[in-house]
Amino acid sequence: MEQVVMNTALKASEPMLSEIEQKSHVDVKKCYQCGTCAAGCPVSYTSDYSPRQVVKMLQAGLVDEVYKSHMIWLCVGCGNCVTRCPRNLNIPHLHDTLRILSKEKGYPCAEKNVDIFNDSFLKTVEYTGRLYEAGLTMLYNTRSRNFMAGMDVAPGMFMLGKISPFPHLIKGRKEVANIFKKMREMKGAK
Amino acid sequence: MKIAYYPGCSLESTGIEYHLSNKLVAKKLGVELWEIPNWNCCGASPAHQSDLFLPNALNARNLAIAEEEGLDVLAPCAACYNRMLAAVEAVNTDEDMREKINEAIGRNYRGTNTAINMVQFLHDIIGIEKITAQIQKKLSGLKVACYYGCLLVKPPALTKFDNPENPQSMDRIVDALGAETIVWPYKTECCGGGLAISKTEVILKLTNEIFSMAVASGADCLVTACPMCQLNLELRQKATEKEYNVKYNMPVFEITELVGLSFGFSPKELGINKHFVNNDAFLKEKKLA
Ligand code: SF4
Ligand code: SF4
Ligand code: SF4
Repeated sequence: MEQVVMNTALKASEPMLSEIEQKSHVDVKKCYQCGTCAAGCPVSYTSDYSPRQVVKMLQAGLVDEVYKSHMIWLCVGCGNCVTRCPRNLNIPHLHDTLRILSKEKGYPCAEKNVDIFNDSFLKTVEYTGRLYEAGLTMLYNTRSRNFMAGMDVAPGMFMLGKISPFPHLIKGRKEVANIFKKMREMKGAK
Repeated sequence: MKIAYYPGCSLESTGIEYHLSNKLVAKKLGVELWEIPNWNCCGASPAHQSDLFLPNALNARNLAIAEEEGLDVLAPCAACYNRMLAAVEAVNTDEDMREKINEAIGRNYRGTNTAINMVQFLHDIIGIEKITAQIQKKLSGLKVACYYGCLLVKPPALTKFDNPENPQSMDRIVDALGAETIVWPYKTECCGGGLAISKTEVILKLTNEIFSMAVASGADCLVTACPMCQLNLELRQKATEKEYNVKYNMPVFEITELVGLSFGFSPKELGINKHFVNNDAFLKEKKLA
């Protein structure tokens, strides 16, 4: 008997799904939707979809919707879900992979500030070798147009002598810059 | 004994007291902390959320420098520890990844060493007995909720450390110091650290749940083994209190701060006076200052 394709979305999404599977090493078909991941997820409450729903949508071929979802940007990687999942799905790694792919493919990002924060953080690491907090704050605040972010707590940090206004430039920063260069080469090569 | 030491970015700034305490405690225990020369940032969440190769390469560089000395790496930050372990695993399981990493870092990292977290170091490597031998002052009267946070124990397939739902090793250390450890269910619940700047309201909710559970369980302070957990729990405590109309005023210590106090170091030597939640009155009341 010929197999009936019930879901055209599923058929059309097959190449995208296999790319996700191959990059993340997570087999979404293994999930039987018990909901354990959603129950313990600390950010589910503020997200459009729970981790269980993200997996279900992938199973159903709704890849576009997943790429545009808030959940892939809100996941904090706490590991509750993967610790408890009876089917051993590494969901935080799946979310990381989805986030990376969605950005590469140019999908609109549902949580812009998370993206800007990550970018600003990595910029300081690329140029100095370490995190440069004051630089991160300046970059993040201007780029997110959120000029007061962190300002409620910043004076305390300076007063306790914890945050330096100057970057710490390490000696090996050429090696670190090389790592970033290699990453871009690899992204470009694909 | 000698071990490589990877402070990570927070220990040089917001978590300076943890840095100071680690050094004093290690010295007293006869351990040489060999700080990895010119270590770089582990990339934290921004790296692993942005690329599959970047976080592994950033961590492999630090690990490689320690491997050249034949040393494992003590990583006092739970997030650094977790990312280092992921890099060790990647290098050992993915030939292609290893080659690309070594090309990028210009070294030959073989993945023969590993990362060790602060509780693991004190509990598994040093051992309770050696710690007890150095105690000069019992921390009696302290009611401590041990907060392991998420990345010290999860995911268990990666960390292979203690129990991910109800770990015990930090409790055993705190017990040995003479303090009382309380039984509570939020030992490994996440505080939302990664969203502290970009989505502060999330961490207000999560830390409120952690503090209210700690109070309900009878704790008067929290102890962590991670500068990010510690910062997150203290820095926004006022904002959390305001948002939820509660009063906690609860100090959050690092494990080596408590060990250091019981070894007879003063709060000032350990940097405990640099906390965001002022703990002067608390320490006086407990006769620790
Ligand atoms: S816990 Fe695992 S099996 Fe259960 S719904 Fe989540 S991903 Fe699926
Ligand atoms: S790792 Fe991500 S999806 Fe899983 S429980 Fe934590 S926040 Fe939720
Ligand atoms: S700071 Fe929060 S998110 Fe980070 S390891 Fe600690 S508990 Fe987890």
